[in-house]
Amino acid sequence: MTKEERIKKRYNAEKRFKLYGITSVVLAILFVVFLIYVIFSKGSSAFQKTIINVEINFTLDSLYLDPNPSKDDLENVEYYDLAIESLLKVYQVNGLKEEKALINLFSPDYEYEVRDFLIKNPEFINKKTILKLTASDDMDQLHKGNYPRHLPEDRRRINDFQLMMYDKLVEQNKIDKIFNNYLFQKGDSRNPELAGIGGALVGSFFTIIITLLLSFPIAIFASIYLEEFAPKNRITDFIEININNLAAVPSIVFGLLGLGILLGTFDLPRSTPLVAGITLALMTLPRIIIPCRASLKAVPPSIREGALAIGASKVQSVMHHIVPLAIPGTLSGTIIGLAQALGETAPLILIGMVAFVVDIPSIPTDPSASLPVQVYLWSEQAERGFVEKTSATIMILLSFLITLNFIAVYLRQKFERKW
Amino acid sequence: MISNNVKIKAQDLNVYYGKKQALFNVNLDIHSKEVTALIGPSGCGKSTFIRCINRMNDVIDICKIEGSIKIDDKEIIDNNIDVVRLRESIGMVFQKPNPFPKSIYDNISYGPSIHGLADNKSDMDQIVENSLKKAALWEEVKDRLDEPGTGLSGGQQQRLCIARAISVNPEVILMDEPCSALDPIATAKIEELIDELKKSYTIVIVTHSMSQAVRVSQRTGFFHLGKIIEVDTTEKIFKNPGNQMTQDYITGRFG
Amino acid sequence: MSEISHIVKSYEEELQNLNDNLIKMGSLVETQLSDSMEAIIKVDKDAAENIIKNDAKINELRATIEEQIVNVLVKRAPMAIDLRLTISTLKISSDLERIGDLAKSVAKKIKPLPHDLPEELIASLRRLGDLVQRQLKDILDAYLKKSKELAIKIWKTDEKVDDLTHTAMNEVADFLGKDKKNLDLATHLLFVTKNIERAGDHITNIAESLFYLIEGEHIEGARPKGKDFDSNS
Repeated sequence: MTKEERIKKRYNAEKRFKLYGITSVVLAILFVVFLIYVIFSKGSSAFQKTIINVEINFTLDSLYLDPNPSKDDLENVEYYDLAIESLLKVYQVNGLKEEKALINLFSPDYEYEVRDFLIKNPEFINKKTILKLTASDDMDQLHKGNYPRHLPEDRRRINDFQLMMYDKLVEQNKIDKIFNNYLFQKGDSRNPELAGIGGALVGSFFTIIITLLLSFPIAIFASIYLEEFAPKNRITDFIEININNLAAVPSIVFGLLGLGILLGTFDLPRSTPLVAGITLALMTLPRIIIPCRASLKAVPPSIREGALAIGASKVQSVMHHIVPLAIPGTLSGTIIGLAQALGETAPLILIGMVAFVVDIPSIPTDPSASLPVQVYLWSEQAERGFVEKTSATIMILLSFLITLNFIAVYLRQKFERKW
Repeated sequence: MISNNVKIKAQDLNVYYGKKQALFNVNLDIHSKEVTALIGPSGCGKSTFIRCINRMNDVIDICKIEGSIKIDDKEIIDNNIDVVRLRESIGMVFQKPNPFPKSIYDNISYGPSIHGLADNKSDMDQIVENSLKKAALWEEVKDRLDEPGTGLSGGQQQRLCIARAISVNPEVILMDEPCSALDPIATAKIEELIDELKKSYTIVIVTHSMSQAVRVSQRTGFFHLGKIIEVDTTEKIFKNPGNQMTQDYITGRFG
Repeated sequence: MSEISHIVKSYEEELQNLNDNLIKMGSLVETQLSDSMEAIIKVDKDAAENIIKNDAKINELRATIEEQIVNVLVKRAPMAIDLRLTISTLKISSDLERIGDLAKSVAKKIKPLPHDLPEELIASLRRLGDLVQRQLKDILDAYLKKSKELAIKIWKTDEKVDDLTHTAMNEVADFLGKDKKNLDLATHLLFVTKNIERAGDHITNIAESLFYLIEGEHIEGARPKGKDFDSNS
């Protein structure tokens, strides 16, 4: 082969190699874009809910109230009658069957929605107003265009009469879509239109806090001790091997550990962020120890020697000089470990976070769900309404993870010091 | 002027790294307020020797030291010695400048702060200024004490390390090839500094440069394969050494 | 001296060159000296011309050696034995050049001389000349062998040179005393004798330099002195 031919061959090989690289990158980006597109297209509709405008007259009589009622009085009133009465005025109906059909257009929480409104705005006593009451799940899906209207009546849940009412209400502009505050405010519910991630959000938050508070200090001090102070012998080698292996253990095994020891032996309350936090902390420990040790190892020995030579004790040289330089790497590792813990589902299922929890937990020992578990639970449900909620939850989860990763990058850059 | 007071006395010093012996029966006197140069081919034990003086070899687990090193007649190869106090009185400057990744001010103030040498901020300011002046660096950095030490040039960094070493008022300064990473001008400035410093401190300098040893030191010790071959005044060693091996080394004939 | 050679071969070659050139210069000077002694005793005016011409070669060689020494100093920063060798070579070449000049001086004095020298003067002049020539041969030998003992011996022999000079000069003085018309001849011969003595001094200098080169110290004590010339003694 002549020199020219060799050179040409080499350049061609380089071009091919670059092509492979670019193709791989493009494919990877395409996958990500595709994933995001699917999730967003399915989930974005969950951020809105369908409402029906209902006129309500808060007369004292209809509420069986005396003039100038106190807050307690308002809370104790029965709103059912007023609610039903107002709902039935929305459309002209005849007979019990049609009344029932009309009522079913609304989400079964209408009584509480009316009540909450008045308690929040007591100035509407003896006044009329138009409330935006939540439509039922089927109405919601119908209005969002997800409902199979074309199917014969006996194969759908909405009958023809209801469809007719819906079309008329749309004509009259009494049906609308607004921001779905329930998504964030409410806990789980059997009715998709009333279901929210509030409980799961707080549950995940408590869980992560507990995981952080438990795993971070233990991991840091373990790393510093193992890297800087422990003698290098068979025992410490053994410990190092085991820590590395722990990081590779499937997370569901930690779930079993939580189930057996935390719930079984220690009898801690099931389904709580406390137990979830402890379980995930165990899982996250090695994932913080490993980058922390790597960062400590990466500090050049010249810094160590300089500190010792000036008369710093071993502890002083480690804490004043080496640890500060290892912080960027440690922080990155910690936040990535936490982000992984945030997305864990299997171990939490094992320790019972699959319970149907309606109330938003107020302390870590209240039962709750977590975001990924919530996704799993909703994905099992039959109702159409849960499909968009599942995707919306995934979107929210992803945005948390991305935020955490950005924080990791920011903190890393902020603390980066050139040595 | 060659002084006669012996500051550091090494006797029958044997040093082992695991099974390998690095120093064999080293007997060497370092005289007070003088510069003693240690020369010899790579791996002959010079660095090992000076690291024994401030017990820096302790950080190497497999290093074992037998024999005696006395500083001002006090034995320091002794498990009861507090190495932290020892290192307060012995400063060390390394081959590659290694300022802390902190500000210039903090580099100097770290030593005094951990040894409790300053009662308040103005005392500390004074210590920092004096150390930088003694290291001939004050004029160049006095307006930027908050800037990171690592932002200085190589020669300035080394002078910063020297200022750091003298900030705790040591009696001895150990230098392990301090100029080998520096350009000729920076080297000349450091040599000038050493000339000044020897008036107040006892200095031991390991060097690969024969001409540097001649320029800066009053006494020179020649190491080979872990043994002291010859130690005498620098004039004698370089004009008319007593040992043939010494002569072969310094004239570049080495066998 | 060292058995081992320098790691840098060119350094070794430079020092070897210096050594060789010095020996070459020594040979030239040796020849000049013996030629000039021969010429003056025989009053050979043609030989004298040659001697005067050949001095240029010695000066050239000296300049070359000096140049080489400067190069070694700037390139090698020589230490210990190499340093002493370099400095000593400088001094020795200077002394050799002076001996060469003295030989030329002697040759110059041949022209104005009458065709024959009186017998009584030739003998002591010849004895002095032979001694100094032997000194020169010996010191060049000593340099080659780097022999301390030879250097000391030559250094001590300077006393004898002084004595022989003293004798030769006395004889010239007597000669002058016999007949004032011999003034010219006597003066020339006195100069010649003096030059030969000075050559001997330079050889003693070389012995001192050689001793310093080998030992690194100076030969102890004052140079041994013979009797001084005193026309009245």
